[in-house]
Amino acid sequence: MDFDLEETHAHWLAEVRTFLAEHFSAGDEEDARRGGGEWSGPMIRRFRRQLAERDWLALTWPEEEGGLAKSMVEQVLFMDALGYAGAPSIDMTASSVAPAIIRSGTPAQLERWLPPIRAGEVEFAVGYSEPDAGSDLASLQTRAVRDGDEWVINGEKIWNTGAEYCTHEWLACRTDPDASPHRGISVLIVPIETPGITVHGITTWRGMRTNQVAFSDVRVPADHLVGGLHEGWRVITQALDFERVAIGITGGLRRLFEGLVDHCRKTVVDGRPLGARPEVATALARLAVDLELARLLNYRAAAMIDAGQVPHGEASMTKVFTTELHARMGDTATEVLGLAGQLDPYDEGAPLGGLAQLVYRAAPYLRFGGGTNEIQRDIIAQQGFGLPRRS
Amino acid sequence: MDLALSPEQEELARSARSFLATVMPAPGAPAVRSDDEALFAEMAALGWVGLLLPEAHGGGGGTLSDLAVVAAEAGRALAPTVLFSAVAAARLVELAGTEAQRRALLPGLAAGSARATVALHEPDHEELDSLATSLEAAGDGLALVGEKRFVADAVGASHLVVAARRPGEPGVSTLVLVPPGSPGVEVVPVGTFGGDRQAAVSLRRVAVSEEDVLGAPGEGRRPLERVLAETTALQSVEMVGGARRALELAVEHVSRREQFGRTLGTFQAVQHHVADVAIAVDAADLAAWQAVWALEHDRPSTAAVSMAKVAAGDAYRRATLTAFQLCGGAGYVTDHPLHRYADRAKAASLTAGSTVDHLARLTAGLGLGTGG
Repeated sequence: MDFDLEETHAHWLAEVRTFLAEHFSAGDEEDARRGGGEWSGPMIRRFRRQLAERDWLALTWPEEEGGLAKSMVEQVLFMDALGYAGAPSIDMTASSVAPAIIRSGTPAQLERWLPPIRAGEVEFAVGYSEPDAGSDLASLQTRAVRDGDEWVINGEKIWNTGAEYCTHEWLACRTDPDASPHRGISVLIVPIETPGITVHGITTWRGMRTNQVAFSDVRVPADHLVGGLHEGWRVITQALDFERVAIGITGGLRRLFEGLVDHCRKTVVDGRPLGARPEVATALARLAVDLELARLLNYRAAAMIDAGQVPHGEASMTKVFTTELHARMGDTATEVLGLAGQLDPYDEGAPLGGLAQLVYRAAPYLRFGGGTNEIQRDIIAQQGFGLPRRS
Repeated sequence: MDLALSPEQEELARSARSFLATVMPAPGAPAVRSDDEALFAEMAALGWVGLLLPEAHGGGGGTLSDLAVVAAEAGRALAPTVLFSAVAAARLVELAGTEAQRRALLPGLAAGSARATVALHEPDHEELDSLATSLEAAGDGLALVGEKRFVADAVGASHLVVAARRPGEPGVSTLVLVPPGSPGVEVVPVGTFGGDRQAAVSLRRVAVSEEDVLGAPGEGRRPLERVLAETTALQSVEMVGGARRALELAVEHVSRREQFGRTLGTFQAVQHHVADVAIAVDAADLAAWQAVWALEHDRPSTAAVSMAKVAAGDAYRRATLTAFQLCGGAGYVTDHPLHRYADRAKAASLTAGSTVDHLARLTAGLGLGTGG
């Protein structure tokens, strides 16, 4: 039993922090906060390029694929540090799609796709959900039909975040309509410039843009199918444990918590610090406990992956606990700030730069996105305790 | 980060679990007393009471995490909690006592032929800085004056370790060994719903000498704080052991019971209760072990210990109350073991610092100021 960071991990963390101190300024952070989820601005492009220059988009890839072969705990440390700094994190291309290609692609596909992903030149919008296939993802209906040396794609995807700036779609399609839902799906790589693709922007509550994307007789070469014909469900679900650990990251919450505590020490209301109000102090102590529990659950899942274990239930636990804490902390923080809790990041007087209300308004998306927390609870009960699926 | 037990600890956990499975009563049988003498003797014989004590004084020379392995199994089996009151008092003798006191007392305490317990809490005071029991000059010697309460397993103990202050001192400074049969000591059991054996202890000018003081007068504070922290961390692990068992009892019920032509466990409403408790128990487990680890390796531990206790209390109460909800009447009857876990959950949550106490400590650690 050892709760310490390994020495190599501590060195890695110091390296990341040094990089952030040198390349991510207070102005950049303000830019990120004010962008409110606009992930294609010039600052973010520059920052991603700087990550790519260090091969940090290929952190956990094996060395033979040009990666740095770092552990999942190191990846979590990295993402925690980015989150704490308020920097844009690595996206699903690096954390989810590339590992899936490495696991399931042919040697020719690895050679073709990995170098440009590592360089930040290829970025994927992930096309899983459809208007009629959300939590029940296996019911997706976007069709891909073989025609000679090409696949012809027709259908519609939604919550396709990044389609307005990404270079490619990572697209789950039905290739066998007669098979059972899980067995007739394949994953196709689709260049976003291909004729027949229409991107409609959707604006969400917090201001983050996502998209609905229509595919009409979109043609891609046959070798753009990754992971075997009708094997797409396996390709998709293998990546999900990793994705849930990434959603369970707590660095951004720690930043909010520390900022809130600092604010409560310094802000004097009616002659006493805000933090001297007993109801405020108790609320902060509760958040301190929950934040530590969230961190422990997150690192536990990462450590299991590094130990070669498959953290099905444990990955779901970190996803649920951290995202529920986003909601609680965003709510508590805005209430503690009182009237000032409604100020947005463009207002010079916004406490914590408006971070509290950003967390409050982003939390719903985290709770229902990435597999709803209800689906995660099903996984915990069924995989952790053997309770049956409803037949 | 490595969350695995060592192979030796795995073996210790296995042997503790199988031992406790054979000696603890079946569901529905009368509950075992918290100070059950026969079981205490067996636990001492297994080396559990002395696990943390030096080998030179009859102990096992083990680590705090070794003891935590036993605590988790004790919590799971609802083993007599006298184990923990005895461990804490013996550890105080080790850390605060002189070499002569260690040599004289520890072998018997480790073997279970003697048993001590700590007299700390008082009716009108909670913090170490406000406890009022005093060690005063009396003729040629000293006298203890004060009221202690919620002294665990005091009846039948060979020694009380009394936390006291000297006149003029700002708080507890000195630990004094007192046999409960001494003139002026009155031990009155209190009635708790958990059925454990706690007592109020009146100290009416109890004559003691310098030799009865553990170590020297004024040197008891740091050992006491250390042992209270260890006790809190160990109890957090023990509580998680019980919480996990309560969750298992609920899962066993909903996996078996059928209603509406389906197993209860197929209902999503039921599964989500199970999942939420499982998350709380796993989180508390990690926090409790982190507290043990921090103490064992002399890392900053104040916040870790309080977080562990808050999380363990929340998880244990939630696990038992949710288990009642999932088992319905079948779990509410005294033939079912669940009610004993529920009793222990609440009693343990209030002991070694309540949730409110530990949140207050965490608040103090945040440095929020007091203002006017």
